[in-house]
Amino acid sequence: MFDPANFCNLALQLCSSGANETSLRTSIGRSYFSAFLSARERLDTLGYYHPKWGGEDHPGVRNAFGAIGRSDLKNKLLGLSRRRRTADYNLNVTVTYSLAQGALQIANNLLAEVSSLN
Amino acid sequence: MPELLLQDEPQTTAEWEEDLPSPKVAYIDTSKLLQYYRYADYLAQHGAYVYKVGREWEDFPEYIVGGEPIPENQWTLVWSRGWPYHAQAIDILGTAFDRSDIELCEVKYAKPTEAMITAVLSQTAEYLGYALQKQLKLSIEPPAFKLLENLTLATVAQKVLDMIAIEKRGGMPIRSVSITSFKDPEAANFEELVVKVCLDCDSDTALRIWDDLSTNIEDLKRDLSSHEIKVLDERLGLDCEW
Repeated sequence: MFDPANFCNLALQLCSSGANETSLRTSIGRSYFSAFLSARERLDTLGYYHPKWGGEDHPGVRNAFGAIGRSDLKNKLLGLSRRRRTADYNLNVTVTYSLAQGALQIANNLLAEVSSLN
Repeated sequence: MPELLLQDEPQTTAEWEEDLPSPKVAYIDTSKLLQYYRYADYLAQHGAYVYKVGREWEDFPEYIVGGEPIPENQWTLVWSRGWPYHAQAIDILGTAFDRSDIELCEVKYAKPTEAMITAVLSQTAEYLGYALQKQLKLSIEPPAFKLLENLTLATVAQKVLDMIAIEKRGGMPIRSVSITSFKDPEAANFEELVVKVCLDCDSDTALRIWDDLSTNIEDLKRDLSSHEIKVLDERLGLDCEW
């Protein structure tokens, strides 16, 4: 099975101070999906969340974190999701390196926490 | 802010020094005690003596902040002598129990400087409404207005804001807070309220602060109903930017 954490490697490659906005926007999207999909799979494995395999899984995964007392993970995934929405949907703002770098840091932080979740 | 019922009007620091050790009793809203205790921990971490006294008051332990250590068997003496800093601290943090019956259980830290004592007392007074507050710079973005019409959500959001305000007064590098809404692009019928905290710090510190604020939110759940907890979990999020 594909490991969604690998998306973070691509996000890292795309995120540099000299990168164009296309790369930065794509980097944020990959950062988000790396964390989101890893979280969904981990929660499913542990029995904390049963995926619907659709859009409702995005808030569903966050809510599942809240329900198990991990507001830290819920909030960081929310923050990452908000950045990803900007990167993927909002063409009226300039996506900067610092935004992409921040998203990558959040994603890496989440991946580490999710992998140790039990 | 904790709701206080004061016997006298609030005083300035200068006035405290003039009329010590006249007792002033502050009854602290028990719904705010969790924050009160966290603040006591904060003060301890910053060099104050924080005494956790053994007698429980409405099932909660008491904390007293003072400037010098109190030997375990001399509490009454200290109180009667009215050592200025103790008297000030007790004036600020004192509660309505019988002081002659206190047993000192725990003493944290030692040897703060006078400047530290002054700073601690200044912050303590501020926390309890005796001085100007370091207010949160708060804005509400229009998309959030409708969400805030939900009474439960608004109530829970207020508790979160209170918690953030306390952390700011405690020194957390919070530049501003805004409330907005978030609709997930893939689940547009699901809208939640987002408290967005803007921080003045580096990314590593910001991530730690994000964790700390989230932990505080978890702590808030102890005082919430099951319905409020569900609303907090599903309809309110905390984002941090730096």
